[in-house]
Amino acid sequence: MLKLRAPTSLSIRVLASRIAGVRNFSKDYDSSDDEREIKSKEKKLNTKKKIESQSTSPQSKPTDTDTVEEPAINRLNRLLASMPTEDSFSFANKKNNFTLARPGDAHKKRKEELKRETASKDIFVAAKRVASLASDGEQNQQIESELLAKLLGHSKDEGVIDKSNSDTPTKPAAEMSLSELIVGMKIDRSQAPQEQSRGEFVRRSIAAKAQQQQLKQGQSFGVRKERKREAATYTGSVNLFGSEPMGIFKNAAELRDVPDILSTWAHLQQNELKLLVTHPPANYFEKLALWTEQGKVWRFPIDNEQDLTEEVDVDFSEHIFLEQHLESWCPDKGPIRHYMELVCVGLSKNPYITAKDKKEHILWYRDYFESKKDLLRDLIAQEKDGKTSGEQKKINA
Amino acid sequence: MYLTSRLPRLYVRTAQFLGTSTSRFNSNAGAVEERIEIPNRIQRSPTDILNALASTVGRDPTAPHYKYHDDPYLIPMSNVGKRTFAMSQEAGRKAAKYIRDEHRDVFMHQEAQPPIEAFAPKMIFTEDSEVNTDTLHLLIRNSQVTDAVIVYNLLKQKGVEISNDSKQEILELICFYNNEEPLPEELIEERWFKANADARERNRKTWKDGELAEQLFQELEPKTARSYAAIIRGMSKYFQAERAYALLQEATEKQFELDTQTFNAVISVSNFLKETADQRWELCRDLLQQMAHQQLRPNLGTLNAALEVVSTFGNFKLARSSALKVLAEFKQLGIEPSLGTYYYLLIIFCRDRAPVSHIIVDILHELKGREFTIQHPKDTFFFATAMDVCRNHLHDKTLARNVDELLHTGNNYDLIGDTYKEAVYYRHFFALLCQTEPIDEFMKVYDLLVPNVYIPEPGIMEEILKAVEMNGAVELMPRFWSDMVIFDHTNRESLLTRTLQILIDNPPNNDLPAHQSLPEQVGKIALDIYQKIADPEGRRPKDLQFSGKMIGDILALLVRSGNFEKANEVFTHIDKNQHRIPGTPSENCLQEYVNACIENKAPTQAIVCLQYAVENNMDAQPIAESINAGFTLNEVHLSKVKSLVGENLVGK
Repeated sequence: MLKLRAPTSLSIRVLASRIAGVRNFSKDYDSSDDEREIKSKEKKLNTKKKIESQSTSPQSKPTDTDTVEEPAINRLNRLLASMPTEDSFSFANKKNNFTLARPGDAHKKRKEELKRETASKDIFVAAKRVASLASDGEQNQQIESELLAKLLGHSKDEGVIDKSNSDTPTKPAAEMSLSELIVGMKIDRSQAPQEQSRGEFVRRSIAAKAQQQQLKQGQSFGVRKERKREAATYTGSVNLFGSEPMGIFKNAAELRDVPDILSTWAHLQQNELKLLVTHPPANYFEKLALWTEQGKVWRFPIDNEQDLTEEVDVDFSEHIFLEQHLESWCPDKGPIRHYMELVCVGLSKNPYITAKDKKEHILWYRDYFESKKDLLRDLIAQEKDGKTSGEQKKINA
Repeated sequence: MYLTSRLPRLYVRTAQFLGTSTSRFNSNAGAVEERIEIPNRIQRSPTDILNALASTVGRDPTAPHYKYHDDPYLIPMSNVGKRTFAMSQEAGRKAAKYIRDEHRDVFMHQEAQPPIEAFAPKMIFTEDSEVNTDTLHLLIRNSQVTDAVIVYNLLKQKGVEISNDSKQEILELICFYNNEEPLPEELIEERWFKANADARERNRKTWKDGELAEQLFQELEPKTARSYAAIIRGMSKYFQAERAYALLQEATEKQFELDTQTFNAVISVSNFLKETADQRWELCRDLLQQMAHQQLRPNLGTLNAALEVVSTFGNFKLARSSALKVLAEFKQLGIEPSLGTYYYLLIIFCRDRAPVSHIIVDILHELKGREFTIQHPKDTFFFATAMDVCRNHLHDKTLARNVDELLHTGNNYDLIGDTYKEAVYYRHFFALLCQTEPIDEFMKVYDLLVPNVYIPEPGIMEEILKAVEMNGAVELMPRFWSDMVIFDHTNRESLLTRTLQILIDNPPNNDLPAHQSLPEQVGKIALDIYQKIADPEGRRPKDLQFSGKMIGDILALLVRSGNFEKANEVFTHIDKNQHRIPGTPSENCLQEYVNACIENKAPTQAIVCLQYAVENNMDAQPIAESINAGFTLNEVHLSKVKSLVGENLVGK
């Protein structure tokens, strides 16, 4: 068995250490696992030996008593039939082997068994009679086993099986071949699961069967081991959604979908959930994504006017071509015009203020010049006068 | 402007060109106008392209995590090292932030256009600050609890009218955080490494009774369903269960229509309200009935809250059946369970004191190949718990592999939680694998994940060593020893003892190619261990001390590797410090040493060894015999031996 586990490179030393090391495992079922495998291997290899030893096993006791005058073929058949039961018995033993270890137990058990045996023998006989009264053949058997199941319940599962198995060939033995017998046995086995009171036994015998099958197939060790253990501690698969509902929300159609009435709470909750799955970035892209979320880098798609909320609807022409704001008030030529054109050039090159500000800036000049209109007129007039007088001086000179 | 108007024309021209060129190749095509369908633009979020690129990178387990400096010398190689590295990086960021906040006057320049708010110093609110309700709203959105409270008080002082909506908002904020400043969002590393501290805080009442939240609640007039909902949820979140329940009843009496979330909150704490499982179940059903009565549609939160209550039942039978009923009920309502739901199922079904359950098989069957996003805070607990079940409950490596496969499906790795949960996950995974897998198989996983994804804790290292011991795979020991040195495990006595034990019990076999250089390496390991204990650099000398067995093993290993010189040194150490070393080396070790003395013709050392054996009340006879047989002793030595073991013994 162990050689199967790692057939290539397992030295004897490893093997020994492994068997010893099994004890090191924290789970005791693991260790029992290995033992069981060893057993089943033995079983498979020495089937003949086993049959012999079987007759002495405690299981077959109830049937042992009435085998004397049965034909040999019957006996062989019965023994064959009791094989899986032996298996299941060893399972049971494995499970609670600590109880076996107690000193007084063995005696007590034997006593109990004896008691049960005698009781069941009577019951067997009675049941058989009733059954034979009712009908014969297959049905006979069926009735008998049903009766027994009813009477004995779980306690005598194995006994019942043995009994019914041994009773399979009720017809004269001469008419039967061995293969027929085995076929009959199989039928009986398939009957067993039908009886509901035997839930536990059925499970065990299925497990034992599976084990034997797996032994025959050359499966890899890991898979086999796992399945077997699963079978040993099998508790049934859980139908997650198949249970009976609580029956509180009966009419789903009438239920209202109520949005969360606390918007801030919902926002915070969402945020917290997001943080739960935010891990340190694992590469540069993730880091960039994180920075993008934190607002530290440009967002994709890149747009150089990103986040310029104020100016979003302003065309660049409004920043550049500012003369349009002069047309309505500024003189076509002269020093003011010249001055204002310079202002426009300067403003058009300023990226730091908005177009609206630029316009306001220009309009401020308009108001300024408007307010200084009189002064300007005087100045211009003076200048003109000065010029003319100067010219006159020139002329005069 | 110019470009946009030009582009379509350009496009049309290209299309025409393409059209003509194809027709040139395709003589039959003629003048068929080919139209090219332009697909509609898909709106992408700013990070979509980055995430798409990131998904192409994948995780390389042979490389250290991205956050560690890409320099072999600086890459942290132990759990403590990793933590220290990441935390100091973050501490640097914190320090920078502190400087910026303290000396804000020096950092006046604004280079970025538009300005980057994340780089701006934090606003400080004083009594003179200009505040309005918008400021308050912004602070609440950014979950700055302390500042929000300050601003709220400022507003009240200044007599600004605060609308009931704003009051409600701040009530929700304070209830959510229990009036404590949350960890800033950008401190990812701190959150990643911190969460295990929270575990202790769990299930203890932390709600601040009679503090700001309740004052706000009292001030809020008229009370609405929203204000009740906020305070009830806050109290439930911080385990003030009784009062939350009382307020729920009060709200119901006043005919306020609460919502599903609020009910969920109360259901999840109903195990604090009642003692026994039956009563809890009764209360839970009662609350669900109330919801049904108000025609509220339950959601995932309700399902998980109900299961949370069920998970506290001591009676496992009741717990199991109730859990399945709850599941069936919500399935009927079409509510899809999240990973958190399955987490609760696992803790309900797989308990230490209950029969073994294989529910995880069914759960994995249900989840196989699916991808998850976070929907419930407990979703991150699933993977660590599932692996725990695989190891401790079922001891099943196939299931463990299935869980691992699920973890690596899509983005499911995001749901691993934090470092603590990640470490728990891998701890269970490794312990299970090294107990169930053949050592070669196990080493494949080990090579893949260690040290960049996971570093085994000392306990797991011991499990691994046990596996090595069991398999007699002594050729792996040099590797594990160097790993232990790197991972900083060498101050664990149990690990050292076990390492020595393995080396002593499995002498290298020269026939195997894998064992060629082993004797030498074993000697190095032994010497390394000796030096680590004999002269600890920078470590407290009390940390580790020799035991007699340990140092005896070192001695024997040195002898075996042929390093007689060092063996002498070790033995001198043994001899000198015999009163300080508890226990004695085993006789076999001494015997091996004496044999080496004979080989190296060093009678003095052999006799010292004999003396040591005699003084420590060991069976000195075999040693004396081999000395006698191996050396031709001079008079001095002979008399010494005789005085130690007696005339007749040597005479023989």
